[in-house]
Amino acid sequence: MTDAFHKDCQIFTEAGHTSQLTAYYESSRRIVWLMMHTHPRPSFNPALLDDVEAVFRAVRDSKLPIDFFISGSTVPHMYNTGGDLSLFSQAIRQRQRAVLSSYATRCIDILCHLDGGFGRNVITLALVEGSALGGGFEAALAHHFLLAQRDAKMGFPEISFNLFPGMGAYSFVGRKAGQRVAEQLIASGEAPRAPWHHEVGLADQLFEPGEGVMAARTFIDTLQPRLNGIRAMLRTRHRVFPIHREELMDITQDWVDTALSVEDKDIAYMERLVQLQNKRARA
Amino acid sequence: MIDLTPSSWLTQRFGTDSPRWRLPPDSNALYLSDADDRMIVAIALSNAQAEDVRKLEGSTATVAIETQLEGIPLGLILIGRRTDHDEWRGVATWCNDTAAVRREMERGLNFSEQVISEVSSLIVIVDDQGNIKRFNRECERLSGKTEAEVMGKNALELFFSAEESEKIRANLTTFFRSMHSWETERHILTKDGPRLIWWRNRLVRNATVDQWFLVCSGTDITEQRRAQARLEEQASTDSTTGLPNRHAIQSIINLAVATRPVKPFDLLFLDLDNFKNINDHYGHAIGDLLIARVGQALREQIGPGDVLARFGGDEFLLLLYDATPEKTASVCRQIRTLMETPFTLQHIQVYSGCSIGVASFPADGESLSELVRNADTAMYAAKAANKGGVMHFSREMNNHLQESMWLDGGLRQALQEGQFSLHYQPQVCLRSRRATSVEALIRWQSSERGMVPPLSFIRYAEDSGLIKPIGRWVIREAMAQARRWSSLPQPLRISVNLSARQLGDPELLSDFMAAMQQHGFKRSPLDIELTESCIASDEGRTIEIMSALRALGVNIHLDDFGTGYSSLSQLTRLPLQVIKMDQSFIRAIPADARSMALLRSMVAVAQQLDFQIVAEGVETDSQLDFISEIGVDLAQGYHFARPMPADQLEQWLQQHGKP
Repeated sequence: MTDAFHKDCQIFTEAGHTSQLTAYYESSRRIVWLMMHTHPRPSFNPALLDDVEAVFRAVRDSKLPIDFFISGSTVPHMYNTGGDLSLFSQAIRQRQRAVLSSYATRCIDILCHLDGGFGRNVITLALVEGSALGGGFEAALAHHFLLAQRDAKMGFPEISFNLFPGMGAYSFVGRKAGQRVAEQLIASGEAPRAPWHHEVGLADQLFEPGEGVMAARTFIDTLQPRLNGIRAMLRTRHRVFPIHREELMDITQDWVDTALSVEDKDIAYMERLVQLQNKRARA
Repeated sequence: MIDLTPSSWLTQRFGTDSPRWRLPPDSNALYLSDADDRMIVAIALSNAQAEDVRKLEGSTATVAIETQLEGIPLGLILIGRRTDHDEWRGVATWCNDTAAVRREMERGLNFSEQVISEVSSLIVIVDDQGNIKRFNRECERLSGKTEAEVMGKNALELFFSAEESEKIRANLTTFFRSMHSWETERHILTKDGPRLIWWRNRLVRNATVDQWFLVCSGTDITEQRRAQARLEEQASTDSTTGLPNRHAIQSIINLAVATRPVKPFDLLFLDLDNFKNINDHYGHAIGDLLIARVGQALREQIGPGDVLARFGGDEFLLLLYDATPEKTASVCRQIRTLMETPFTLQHIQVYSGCSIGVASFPADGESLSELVRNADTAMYAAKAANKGGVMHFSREMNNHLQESMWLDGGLRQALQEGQFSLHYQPQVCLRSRRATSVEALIRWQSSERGMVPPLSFIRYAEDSGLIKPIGRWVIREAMAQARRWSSLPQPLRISVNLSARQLGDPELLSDFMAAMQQHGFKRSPLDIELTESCIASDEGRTIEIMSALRALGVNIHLDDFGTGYSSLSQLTRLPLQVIKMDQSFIRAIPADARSMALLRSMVAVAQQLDFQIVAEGVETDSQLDFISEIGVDLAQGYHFARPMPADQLEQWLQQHGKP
């Protein structure tokens, strides 16, 4: 991935040491790139949350001019698989409401930063080159623009273990594509490929496999001459389709309750999925 | 807005329907902008479209793309190319659907691009920093680098030495400021080493990007220069000696006389004394070898600042800078010493002295031609005075030269126009007191100068070789006279003088015989007078010729005996019949007793050896008495008669026929 980067991309050192991702700063276009290489499983584990929070703080506080923020992943065919199922299943078995609640709150804060442009008018882009599932898809949807590789799968599989995506899924999909699309995705658990999302209004731009970085820059370059107007449009979007933290927090508390009320068979499935993810990661 | 055509839309956006375009390397956003880059629009190209644009490498070419802007379908033709390593730029123009128009346009552009690529000149286009913008095929061939490799890189760093590139950088700045075109020769570094290129440089404005570029078109003149240098070297070097040749030394002298302030120098003209003989005798190979060895030996004698050149034949020129009379004298001494020692050429030992003439600049001439001519004149004077000698030029020598030139023309004219005549001086037998023979003496009645005395022209005739035709004329004329006199009651023998040069003439015998035949003589009525010097030069050959003449009935006289070094005993080896005592012995009579004693004993010995003896220059009675007394056979001199024309002699004979 580094090879594809422009020569004036440097490590975004303000974020300090990160283990689950690498952040870059591209000075010519004023972009901060957050490229995830999450392990052992490409999910939102607590370590990744730590790193993302560190980068976000740095973006918020940095003296560097930043017009754009792009998140992506260097894990092949994978943007993010979402919530940490291992953490979930353990917390549910041990009835640790506080653990689940705290985890969910951190995720909500991340979404709010992305949606709010870090309080400094930064335009955020998700560069989805592989699967974005559950919380991974929710995170991608929280960016102002979602650019997706044509073969990328995006969806909410939580229903398969009798849960629901409680960190912004309904709010973001509902506002962008309407109630029917939101419920179709949440209720079915299906993960269609990107052209479908482009069709319904969830993905803003599609690109061919391997062209992600180029597509992101092209997208940004075409925005540059009209940045002033685009920023105003985004502010208007917030005014017309506002997503308030309270709404997200309320839904998340419901999510915690729902999680704690899943049945044993559902927890077992969650655990099996973790094993499967581990196996895949090892392969 | 809906009704806008692409052209009017472009004009509305950019103030022109040909906006500029730019494509960055790391994004497919095509920027369109107005001339001042104030109005910018970015269009996302598809990958395929962007790839097509990126195929525009060094050459300006076109790509047609279909896109849309703000909902308006737009067919654009992008004309341009990669401007440096990181960017593609050019001018966009809209196209309607007329594919033919587009094709025409592409074809035209492609054609001119192809011309630049394929033209046999080197074409490089650089910006004001020397960064390469174009690099045609010929450049690729010569440099071994491809256009793609060098595009955007700095030409000065790639192709020039640090030193040259520094100079060029300064020039570039100046020329971009002054906007002049210029031509220059520069060495560039290539895969095959440095090459010399003749560059014609011209500043050209590219309206597409509103920038001035330097268009350099070059020709590789390395080989041409090498050939020139070889030719110049060949043209200025003498192949036999490796010394500068005539052409080169002339240039050097021209330079030396043009130097200001005037710097005196001496020009030495060296001429080998014996070269012609060596060449004739041993052949040209040995002759050339001698020239080479002499050249080499001379070179070792001269100082590092001085110049030695072969002027031609056996002539060398030596240019001595900062000459003083002492320095020149010392160099001449060295050369003479050197030339006194023999050269061994392929086991043959050869002596070749040389004569040297010196002319000083500026005293003896201020131009090349004057200096060389005067040094040459001085050399001739040196040779004439004493072979192996040195003479410094003086104005009088020029008079001598002018005299020689007059003589040369005059003698030739005399031969053609019959200005020569023979006078005859009788030789009287002292016993019978009757004239039995005459000496024929040449007279020249010049149309310009009247009677020219033999002393003034014989020497030149000898030196110039004109003596041969003159001698032939003398023989034929004397032969004719002998025929006329053959009816006299007492036929006279006529003696003619032969010089060494005539004696060496291989045609002498045949000419002599032809003259005899022409006048019907079976035995020669002519006798020959030779001097000692004739005999000294090549005795064997001389004897051969003397014997052949003898066989024709010729009596051989030895003229001026007593002045040379031959002894009487030496003379016995020669087929001589008559010895003529030199006039100096006769003049000594009666005052110089020693000379008289010498004459007496010489005559006695000669009588013993059976030579006839003639006394020349007899003018007085006492002289006649003495020579009669000591037994001289014949006498010649004013006492009897001056030399006179044939008709006068006939009268004289009638009067003095009897004692």
